[in-house]
Amino acid sequence: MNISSAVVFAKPMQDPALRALLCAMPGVEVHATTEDGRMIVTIESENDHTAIDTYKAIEGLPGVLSVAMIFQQTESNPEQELTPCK
Amino acid sequence: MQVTRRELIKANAVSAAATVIGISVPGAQALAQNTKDGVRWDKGVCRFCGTGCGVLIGTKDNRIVATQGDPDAPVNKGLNCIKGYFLSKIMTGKDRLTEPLLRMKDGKFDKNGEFAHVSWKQAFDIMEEKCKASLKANGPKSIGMFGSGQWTIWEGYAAVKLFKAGFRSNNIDPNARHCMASAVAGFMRTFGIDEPMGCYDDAEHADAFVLWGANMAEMHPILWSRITDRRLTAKHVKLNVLSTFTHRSCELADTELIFNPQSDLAILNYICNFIIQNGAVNEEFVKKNVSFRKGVTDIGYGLRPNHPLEQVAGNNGYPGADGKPKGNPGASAPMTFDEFKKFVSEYTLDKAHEISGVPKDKLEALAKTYADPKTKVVSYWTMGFNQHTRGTWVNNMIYNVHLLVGKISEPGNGPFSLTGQPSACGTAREVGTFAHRLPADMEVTNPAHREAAEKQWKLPAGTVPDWVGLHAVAQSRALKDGKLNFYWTTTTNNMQAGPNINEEIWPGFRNPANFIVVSDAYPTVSALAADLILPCAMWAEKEGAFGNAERRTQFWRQQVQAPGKSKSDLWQYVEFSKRFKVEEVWPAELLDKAPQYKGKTLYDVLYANGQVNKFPVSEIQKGFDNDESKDFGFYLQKGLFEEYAEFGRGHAHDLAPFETYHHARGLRWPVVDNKETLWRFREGYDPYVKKGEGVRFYGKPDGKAWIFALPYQPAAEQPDADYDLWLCTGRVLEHWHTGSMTRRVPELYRAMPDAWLYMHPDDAKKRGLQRGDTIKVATRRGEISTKVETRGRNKPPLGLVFMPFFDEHRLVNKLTLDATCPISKETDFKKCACKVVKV
Repeated sequence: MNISSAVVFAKPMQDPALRALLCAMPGVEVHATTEDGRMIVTIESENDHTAIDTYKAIEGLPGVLSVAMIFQQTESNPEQELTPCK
Repeated sequence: MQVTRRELIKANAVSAAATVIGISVPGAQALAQNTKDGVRWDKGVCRFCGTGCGVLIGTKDNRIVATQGDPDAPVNKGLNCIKGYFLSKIMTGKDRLTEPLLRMKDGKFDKNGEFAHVSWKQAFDIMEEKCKASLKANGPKSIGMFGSGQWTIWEGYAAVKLFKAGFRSNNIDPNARHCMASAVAGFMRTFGIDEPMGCYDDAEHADAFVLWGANMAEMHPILWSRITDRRLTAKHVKLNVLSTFTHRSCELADTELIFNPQSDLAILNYICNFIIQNGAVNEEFVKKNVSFRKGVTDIGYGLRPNHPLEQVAGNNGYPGADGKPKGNPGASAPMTFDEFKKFVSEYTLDKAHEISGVPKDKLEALAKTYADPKTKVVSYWTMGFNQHTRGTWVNNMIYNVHLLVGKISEPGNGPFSLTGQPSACGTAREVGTFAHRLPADMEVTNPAHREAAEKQWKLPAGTVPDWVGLHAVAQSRALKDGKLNFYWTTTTNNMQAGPNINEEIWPGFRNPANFIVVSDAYPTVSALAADLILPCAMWAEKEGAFGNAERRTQFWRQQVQAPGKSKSDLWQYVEFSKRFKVEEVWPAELLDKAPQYKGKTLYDVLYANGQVNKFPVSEIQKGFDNDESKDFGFYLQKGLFEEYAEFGRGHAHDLAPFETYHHARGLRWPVVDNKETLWRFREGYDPYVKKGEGVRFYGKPDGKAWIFALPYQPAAEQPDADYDLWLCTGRVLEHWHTGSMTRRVPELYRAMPDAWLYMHPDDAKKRGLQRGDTIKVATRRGEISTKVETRGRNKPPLGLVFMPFFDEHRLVNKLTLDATCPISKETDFKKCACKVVKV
């Protein structure tokens, strides 16, 4: 699977409506928003195709000015458990 | 508390994004900081365009599993474009080459045979045989190499040494010839020294941006995000986009100027005329820092000498009826300011409008932007200027504008030539891999420069040949004509990217007189047309260094091992040099001057020379591989870099010590006393400008830059009754150049699978076409079929069509004309005449 993050730049007043639209998209989570309209989202996808479709869909949402891609990682064993250091 | 990998990766992803925008997301950041999942992170540089974004590379079990924009990289501050974002996937395409392949029949090489796996020994055996046979029969002029602006610095340097010093052939040229040779020629002609005076920081200081034929939104997305940021946060900032068709960068433009192809020449002269007529010349600056020149004009179009356009050209430099060169296309003579003023006075607003088709109010507003002393202006350009039969001129002419008003070499003011490849500057230009160049802007035709190179390389006087080698287009022609017989192309794909494939490239590759070697990581169309394919290690499978468009030199370490038997291009050149005894390639009288080299190999003389092999492998960072160094027994990259860097130190091209770059996020040269240079030629910024000098263009002996009087002239081929449309080619956001890497990333392939022809809806209607119809695009050189797009991201005006060149199934370069700028020898991929018919 592929896990990635992006910063969505949106018009400030759009926040609640846009947030709802984003959360309705499969694999998308909103983790933080700022007052000037920036949001941190992650996208989880099971195959190569859905990640880019999701990005294109986000870019096309009303109120989105641009999407900046930040991080991506491919993981073959996502449910393996790890222990955080103290 | 237990967490899953999925949760941890998500925390890492959120944490990376939070760092970029400077906010805190405590839960995710704490988890990311306190949990280890066995992924090693190290800094790297993006493999694609000339922007030079920093990326962090995450490696686990000899696989790159993750990447993120490097938040500490000054270029991109943590951001990625869509290509950079999927960077880790370029190495894992299903058709990756892992073994050498040779055309064989009945167990031995046959030019008409099928590709079969061979060992490296067999591959080098046949290469050695063919190279030696060519040298023996026809001398060093019959062998050549076509390299790349994607070469790492040491790959380009090792290749230059092998050819210019080892084989004594200057027939080595980079594919950068196709993308920024005109920028190089422009810099050398105007300033006497290569590469931009400014840097990316200009984007945060400018009051106005002018894009000349560059679609930065798609080709330089991260730089574009910096411009976007400036435009949206500083309300007074204005953006002007000049292009021959409407594209994505126009979406943000305050003014969009769509001009007729080739008319940029007239617009630039009009702007100069406006500046002069309105008293806006910065007289003090011009008097102190500028000389005026009149360039020769009858220079031809870089076509074959028997072309009618060349037969009538008086200054194309080709042999005339008497065998002597017909003039020199680069020649110029001094003139006065008043003569220059008179020269541009004919480029009135009416005339500029008539030639360009741009509304007068827009032309005038653009001219005012440059003329207004209170507006800081940055001009950006890439292929629109460079791929132009008057590419050197148009580069000279944008400098004319900036020099007349003194808007140059200071924050927010300057002309900025962008590059398309990751090391077009760092390798192709700075290392001197062009057929006429040596490191640090030196040239093979200058005896003092050859002497300096021979001394630095510890070689006898007369080793480096004094003749200019074959440039890219001339190499294709010489292959077809059977004059270039051993040809090694590496890190490039000219059968897709070069012009006029049908008539000028394919025949040379398949000419029975020639042996063609292609080094690549994937079976490109060039590789499949070759005789021998060598599988290459790519990007983070080797230690590397690139130099970006703002003079920033950046390093990365080898992160993983290359698959199968792939070897880096660097390894290939150095290993191949062991196959040649000096006696086999140098004349006896040369070797007599250096008897200590008798019986040695080119490897001994060029690489195991006491300089390149000076640093032990123990200096390689612990925990990282370095396959080439391990093989040869010394820190190869460090030795090559340090030997090379000596050329520029003290000569305004200073590079820092090798190790510095493994720690810094790149440094912009000249680096003097560990301090980089942001703006060249200005006191206070550039250590080469002395106190009290203010501005000094020290590339010229008298410290003065040259303004050139040059006219508007038509393109080599224009639409007519038979071929009624302009054909312009170029790139798209999703794919990088010929797609040899991005087409292997499933996400990117799917995002833009096929190259369609972009056309105005009325032009389509006139031909009975609807969006999505299959069409035939034809020029005098061939035809291809594709589909028509009338509503896409590119919106051509009536009379012009655009098609990208990334698609290996539809080679648009079968259609293009191999006309070049006669000075820079760079092809004009933006202008030829075509017709479009329904299939």
